[in-house]
Amino acid sequence: MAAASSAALSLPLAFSRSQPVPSFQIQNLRLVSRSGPGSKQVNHIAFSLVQRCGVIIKNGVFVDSYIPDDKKPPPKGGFELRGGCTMIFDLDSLKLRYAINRPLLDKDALASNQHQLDARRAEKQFNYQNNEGSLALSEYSKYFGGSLTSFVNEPFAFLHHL
Amino acid sequence: MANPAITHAEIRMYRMGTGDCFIVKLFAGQKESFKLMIDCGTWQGTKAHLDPFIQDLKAYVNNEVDLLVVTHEHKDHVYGFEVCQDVFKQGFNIRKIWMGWTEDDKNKKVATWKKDYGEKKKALSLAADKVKDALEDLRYKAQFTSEHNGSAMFAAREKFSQVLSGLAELQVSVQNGQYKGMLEGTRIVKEELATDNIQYFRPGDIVENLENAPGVRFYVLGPPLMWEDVKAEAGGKGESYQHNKELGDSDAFSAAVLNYTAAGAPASIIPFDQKFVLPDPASSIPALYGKSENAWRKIDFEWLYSAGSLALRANSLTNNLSLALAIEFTESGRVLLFPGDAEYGSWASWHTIKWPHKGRDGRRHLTEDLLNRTVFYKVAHHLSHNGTAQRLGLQMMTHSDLAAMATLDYNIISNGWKNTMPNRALLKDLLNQTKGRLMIMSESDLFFDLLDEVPLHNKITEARSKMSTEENKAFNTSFIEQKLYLQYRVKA
Repeated sequence: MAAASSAALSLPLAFSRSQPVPSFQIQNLRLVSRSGPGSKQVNHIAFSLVQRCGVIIKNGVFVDSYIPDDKKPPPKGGFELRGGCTMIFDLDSLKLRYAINRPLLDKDALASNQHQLDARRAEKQFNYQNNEGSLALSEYSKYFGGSLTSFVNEPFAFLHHL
Repeated sequence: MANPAITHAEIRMYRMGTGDCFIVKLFAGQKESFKLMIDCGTWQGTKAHLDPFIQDLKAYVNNEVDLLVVTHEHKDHVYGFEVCQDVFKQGFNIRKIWMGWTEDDKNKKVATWKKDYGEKKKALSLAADKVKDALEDLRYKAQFTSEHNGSAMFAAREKFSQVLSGLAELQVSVQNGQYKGMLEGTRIVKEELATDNIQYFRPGDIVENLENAPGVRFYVLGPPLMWEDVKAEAGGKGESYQHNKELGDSDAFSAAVLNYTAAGAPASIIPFDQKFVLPDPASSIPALYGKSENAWRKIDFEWLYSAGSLALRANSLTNNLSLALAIEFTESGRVLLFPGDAEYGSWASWHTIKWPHKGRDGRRHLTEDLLNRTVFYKVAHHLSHNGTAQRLGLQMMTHSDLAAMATLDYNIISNGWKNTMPNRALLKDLLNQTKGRLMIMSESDLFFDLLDEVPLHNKITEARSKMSTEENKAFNTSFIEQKLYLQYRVKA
């Protein structure tokens, strides 16, 4: 993951001292004021809780996980899988209006109380970023860079960063 | 007495850098009978770098070739004629020169089309220069400095500029900032090396029994003929010239670049009506945008990035103008395929050629039959994704003796090409169908997988292990690897 922006926090969750401590970041915390239905002003607070996990994929198959360290290059075959949740609170009613989640954990396994990484998602994402995706690149992206190869190489890209 | 029959060919690929330079020698037993040269180019190289190759070539053919084929006008196919022109001009005899019909400047339709296409190339070259200038312009840099990811965005544009300049340089001749028409290498062949001995060919042409090449037949597959019916960029439907139609979309961009001046452009090419132009440059809006904190809002230079599409279309279009040849040994039916850099559109058109007869079985289209009998394939367009047709190309090359040579060298290659060359799916099919008889100009820095973990060399070795003992022995005695060239011997 890129270095957290100045607004991001990194909070250790100290539920077990004997194991490596999981952490998450709060990103893109912002106030959103806009016109809603009937020209009524809507005031929302939006932010994302983001987690990451290092995973090692060999020959397209998940083999191991690791704790990412920004000071070191990833191990061979390693890449960072990200997950988390974006929440939008209504400031006027002080209620959670929307939650968009994409957890690191396997939700099916979680239902039976097993905390395990969603390995299938990791494999699929890795395959897309390193194999399938590049086959589907446009001619333009292949030569000049774009989408997978360079996320900033498009005119007006800055407008997407709200 | 009739010339003795051709028994084998020696195909020599010079290793000057990504680009084509081939000598094909036909032998009757020990006796050298016919010498064919195909292209003389590389992406880049000084005279000091290229001279040893060209000197070797000259000695190898003993100062004379029976036939020179110039496939198409791209630097990686003609640059050697420019850089080493002295070697070719002195004591080097070229008996015949062959080019595609699209190079015949005396053909009025070709001349009209070329003039128009020339304007597009000129626009491309100018646009490449303008992008380069823009990136050095402090006002443009200022648009990025305060931006989130600003330096990455600027770096991405610098990469774009490098790739664009590479594509422009590939096909446009510029000297001292002035556009000069055809590439210098092509000009030298046409105007200085030719002695009124250039012949232009169309798909469907068949040439046989050339002097010293008895029992050898040349089938012309490309460039596609449909272009001829299309005046300039008027377009037309059919997959073999989809690029022609697309190039028409770049008309407005080309006109804008060619007429762009700081003092203003003719109304006919300005994208907005005059009434929308602010009358007073000192009015509040330009002043507002002129403030340094508003630099990020400006889009003065963004329009230049349309040049990327123009560059790609021009590149594919010229590739499809390649003179593509299938050389058949008539007795055995074995075929050598030299398609230049033909891309998919050209390949597809080969299957619509009206040949005077069917394939050898009396049933199949002759093009398919020629592909079935291909025992040597010069891989088009340096192993790129669209240089080799899949269904209408490689999948039809089913001969068990199939071997292939590819002119790819990562040490000397244009920016941007590495993303398309080599194409992994094509490599896989080639290795499989040739049983590893895939000879690449340089294997260094090439990997089989996208993560750069499996060196291509290992995969080639692995594929070769699938040959039978006899096949392996035959391959090892036919293949020579030297510093200056790779050479492969093919039975006639």
